[in-house]
Amino acid sequence: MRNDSWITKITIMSVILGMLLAVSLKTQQQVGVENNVPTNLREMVAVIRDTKQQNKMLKDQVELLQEKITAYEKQAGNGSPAVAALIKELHDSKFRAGLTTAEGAGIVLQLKDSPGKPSTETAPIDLIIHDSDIRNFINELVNAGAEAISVNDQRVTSRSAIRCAGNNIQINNWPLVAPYEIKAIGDPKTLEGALRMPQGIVDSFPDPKMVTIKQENHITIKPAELTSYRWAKPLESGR
Amino acid sequence: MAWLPLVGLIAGFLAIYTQDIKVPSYMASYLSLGTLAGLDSFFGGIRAGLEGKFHGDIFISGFAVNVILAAALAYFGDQIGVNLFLAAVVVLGGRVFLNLSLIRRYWLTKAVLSKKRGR
Repeated sequence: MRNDSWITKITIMSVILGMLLAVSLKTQQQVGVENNVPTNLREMVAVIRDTKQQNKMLKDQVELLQEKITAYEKQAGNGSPAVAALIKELHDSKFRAGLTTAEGAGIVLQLKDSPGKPSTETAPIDLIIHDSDIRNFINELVNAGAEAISVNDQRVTSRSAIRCAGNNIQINNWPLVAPYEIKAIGDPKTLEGALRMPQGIVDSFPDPKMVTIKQENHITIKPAELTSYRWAKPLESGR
Repeated sequence: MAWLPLVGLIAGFLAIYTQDIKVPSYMASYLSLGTLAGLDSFFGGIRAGLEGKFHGDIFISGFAVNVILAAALAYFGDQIGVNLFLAAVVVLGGRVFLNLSLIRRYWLTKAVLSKKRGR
């Protein structure tokens, strides 16, 4: 009888142990499922391709609607002079916000990775163009009085972020790849002079081939896309 | 009667495995450590029973406390950055192996003895 009693107790415990085993097995399986989320590379490629296509379609749509708006504005302007004045002001504001194409004299500079090999003096990391290089150039150009700037046709506005994202640089959340072409409208001589200042930004590159600057009499800079404001609100009283 | 614990084990396993139970995945490692502690107590109990030293209250309290303590200690270790999980696995795993080998030894001895007696 004594012999039976310990077997009974162990049997009761073994039921609980079996439950424990089942729970931990199930949990481990669940962990396994959670850990391998993106498995199918081909599927991912298809998803990216589709999304890109959709993106392009939507962009086209935006452009079309933008054109319609401009047409409506023109139509409205044909009416009263008050409306025409308002529309002129609207265009002016849009231009200042970088939402219209800008043209004028300026410089076009091209930044590309150095074709040279790293040596004892130059580390490989110094031979490629980084997001910080582009930021520095833009900062220098704005300081020299550039009035409109774009990088690979992405307009740089007050809402633009310039950041490194893996292999490419993102501006306005749009991925760009080298070579980077920075267009800036302003006094061409002043702009180039600011960049070529001794010990200036151009001098900071180990390979002079990485930067080429051209002065142009006429360049056009594409507009930025309209951004939405979710948090910031204008002050009620105006100023 | 020796097969009863095994039946219980399978019954308990199936009772839970067929249910749809979800445990947060961060608890997975603690849960498996608790299970290992349970296994240790289980085999320890069998060994004690075979040795004739089985005490029901010690066994049951040991089972419950070990399971909770192992998981809690591993959790505490994670909080203070010491890998107590590994320590518990080594100790408990070692004990499981020791108990299993002793159980095997007792059973074999018993089998040999009963054979001799039968002769």
